[in-house]
Amino acid sequence: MLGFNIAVPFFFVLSSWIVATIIGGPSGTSAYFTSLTGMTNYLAFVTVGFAFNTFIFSTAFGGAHAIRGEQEQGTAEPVFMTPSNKVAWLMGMMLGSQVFGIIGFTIVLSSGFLLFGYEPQAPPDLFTATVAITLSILAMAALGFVLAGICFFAKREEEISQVLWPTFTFFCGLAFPVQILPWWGQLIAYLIPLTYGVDATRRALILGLGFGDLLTVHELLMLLAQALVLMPVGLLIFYRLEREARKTGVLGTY
Amino acid sequence: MRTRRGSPLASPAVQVRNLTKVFEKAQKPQKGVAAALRGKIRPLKEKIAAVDHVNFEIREGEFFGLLGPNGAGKTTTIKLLCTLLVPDEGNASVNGFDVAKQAEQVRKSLGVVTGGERGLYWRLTGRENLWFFSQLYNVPGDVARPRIDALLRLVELQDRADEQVEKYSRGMKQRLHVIKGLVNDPPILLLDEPTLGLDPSSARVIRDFVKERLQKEQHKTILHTTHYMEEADQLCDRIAIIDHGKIIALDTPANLKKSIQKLEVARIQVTQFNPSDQESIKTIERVKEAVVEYTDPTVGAGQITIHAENLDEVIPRLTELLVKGGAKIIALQESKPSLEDVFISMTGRRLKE
Amino acid sequence: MNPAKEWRTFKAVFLRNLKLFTSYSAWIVAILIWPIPLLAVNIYSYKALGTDASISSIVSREFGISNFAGMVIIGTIVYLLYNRLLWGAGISLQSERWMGTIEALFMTPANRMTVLFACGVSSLIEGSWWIGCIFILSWMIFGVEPSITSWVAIAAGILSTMVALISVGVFFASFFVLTRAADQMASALQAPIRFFSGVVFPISALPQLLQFISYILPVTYGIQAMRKAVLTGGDVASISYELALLYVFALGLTVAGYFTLKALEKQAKRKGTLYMY
Repeated sequence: MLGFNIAVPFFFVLSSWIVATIIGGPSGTSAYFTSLTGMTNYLAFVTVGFAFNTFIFSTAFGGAHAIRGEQEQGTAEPVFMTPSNKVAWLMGMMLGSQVFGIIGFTIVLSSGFLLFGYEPQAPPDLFTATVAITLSILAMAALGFVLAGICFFAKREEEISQVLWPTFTFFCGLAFPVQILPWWGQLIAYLIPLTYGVDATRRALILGLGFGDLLTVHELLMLLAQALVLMPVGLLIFYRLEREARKTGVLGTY
Repeated sequence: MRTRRGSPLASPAVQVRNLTKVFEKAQKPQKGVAAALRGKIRPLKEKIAAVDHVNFEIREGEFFGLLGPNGAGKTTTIKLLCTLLVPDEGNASVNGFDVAKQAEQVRKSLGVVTGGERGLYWRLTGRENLWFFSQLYNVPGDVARPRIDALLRLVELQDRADEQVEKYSRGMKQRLHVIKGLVNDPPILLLDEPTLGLDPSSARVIRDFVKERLQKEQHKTILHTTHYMEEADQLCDRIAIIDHGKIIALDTPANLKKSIQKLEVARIQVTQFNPSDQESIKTIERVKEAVVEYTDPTVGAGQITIHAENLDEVIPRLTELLVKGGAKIIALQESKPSLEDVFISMTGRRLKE
Repeated sequence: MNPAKEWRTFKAVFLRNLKLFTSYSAWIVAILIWPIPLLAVNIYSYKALGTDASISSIVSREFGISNFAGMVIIGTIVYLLYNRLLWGAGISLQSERWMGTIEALFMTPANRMTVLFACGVSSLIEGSWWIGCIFILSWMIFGVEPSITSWVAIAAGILSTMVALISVGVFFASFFVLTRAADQMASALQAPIRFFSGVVFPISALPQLLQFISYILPVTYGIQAMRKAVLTGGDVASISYELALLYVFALGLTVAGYFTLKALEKQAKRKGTLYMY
């Protein structure tokens, strides 16, 4: 968890810093980037994006990680034999690993600020950023349930996260603005809640834009709508996959 | 069967001298915040001797049992002999090779049968598992293939050999474990509780196979660990009883039972037994040991096992004590001592406690 | 050392790994999909800062490499191979622990190093065919024109890099005997290696102080050799320094892996922690 929550985002920010200095000189930015995003500091953009990354791991992959761990230790069947609410159990696992997410977020953001000299363009709107992060976690939790269900059959949580993490990084604007993607890439991007969450958090932390900004409000509403739609869908898929796993007898196998 | 320097299998096949293995265990944390913090920074550890200066020899072709309760040190002894653990004191040799200094030769001489759900590749078939391990034991392909077929037939797994192990029942997995230990045709076999968790019928199949085929027909030397005394009694030529890492008795089953023959054994079924009377029973003259096993503690129902020198003198005093205490005697039976009785007489408790 | 015995062990482990790999469909799907977005992220990190033409002009001026996409593609391909080794061979002993087979394996007389090398080779083969396809496809997608004068140099570069990476996997596997968190250590190592070995940029772009770390990583030399051979028309002579160092790493890491495994196996057997996971 520490690897993905701290080492990966930290070194990706470092990497982006080097790329920025190659292309943009010591200032590390470019007019091209500013024209796309309205932000003057590319490093700030990337730092917030990769700091956000920590929540992806905790939420989206936390459930699959839990299921896989139980299977490997041989405790999946004993856990699923109990009358406890499995959704509550999974939510507990996912939310519990938010501790790592919050630690990672803080470390990456702080290191961007302290080590790379990134400065926000306006006083950050922490309340809006918190709302955006919270809604993103809820929306990603839906995906977390689906991945947990898939893990009953796939057995390999590491491979799932290995595929999905760079996919999210590419489509959701963690490392670069979504606007530079081809049209089909942008279409996919706007279907993923994370895209709105990352952008709203950026606008709050770097540009200081909150509920007074139309675009930010639009993004938060999209996030909320997707969370409300995806959560029951994710739960339904999890229950279906769990039942299928019980039917085929693969609940505890690894 | 060949051993070192091309000489026939030397005797003893297994020799253990003062073998000791000590593990560190964290002590229970003491109460209080300061003690808890100290425990985190510098946890207090105590040393536990899992195997404590153990000595025994196993002759060529012998079926040797290591009998003891859970946690006695049986598996640790097996692991020391098959080079998975390094001894802290003493030494052991297998087929003439030192387990610490000549580990590779030891491994070539051994077949080890563990059990349970682990130790097999679930995603491979039974045949693939056997093939894999045969290659790691350097068995040539033209030898390994027919041997694997023969082993599968021996334990009646030939029809399921090409299914993934994850689809096997526990009994099937255990049979696969047994023949996995034979894939290199070793002269010496270590069997670590091979019938644990099996139903009686599957357990009997394994026992018969090991005794009749492996020892009697193929003259293999076998070290068999178990906590089932009937199994040890039935299979073993000699038994070492191990408890808390120490061997407390070593002899043939018949001699072990004879050793307590001057003691007679009585078993009394009672109800409404008063637990405080247990110590009083031990104070009766000529009573060596008394163990109570409750079937229903709420009504004081159970069985009292007495080891005494002269039951004719002891029984009247015992019945008087029981009646005075309010107990009701349901049945009384005198019997010949079993290995369980040997264990009780030596340790003061049952094998299964 | 008995060559027939080592070959038997090698073949058995290699075939077992391939069978296990193909039995988990998630593995296969991951191998097929994962390289694509990773490569795309690396390239688009540049695209955020300017047009393709302007970026290529800057990269050409600074590093003598005409196409930034080609530079990133090669770095990413070598990194993907390294990753295969880390997650294949590197955590092979940890995987045996998870499967509950490590004791069964260590009870056999099989040479541990042969087992690890077989894991390394099988990891490489599991991924390299597809990584090779990605290599060619990405060339076409991003419109990169290679500048190759010596196919011998290319072959030598690939071979040397693979040999060095296998020994990296073997070394990590030996080291990871001691820890029960091999997977976490492996994942923690991915990102720093990506940064310091110059996957996305030449290491000359790093501050001088950080370049020292780059020079102790075999991946760095694999990337440098391949960039020279593919992008700047380098021949065998021009990459001989990198090739030599790759073999030095291969030898050094193999020897280090052997002694590390021996020492740590002894310690695990002393403490009784071999099977714990």
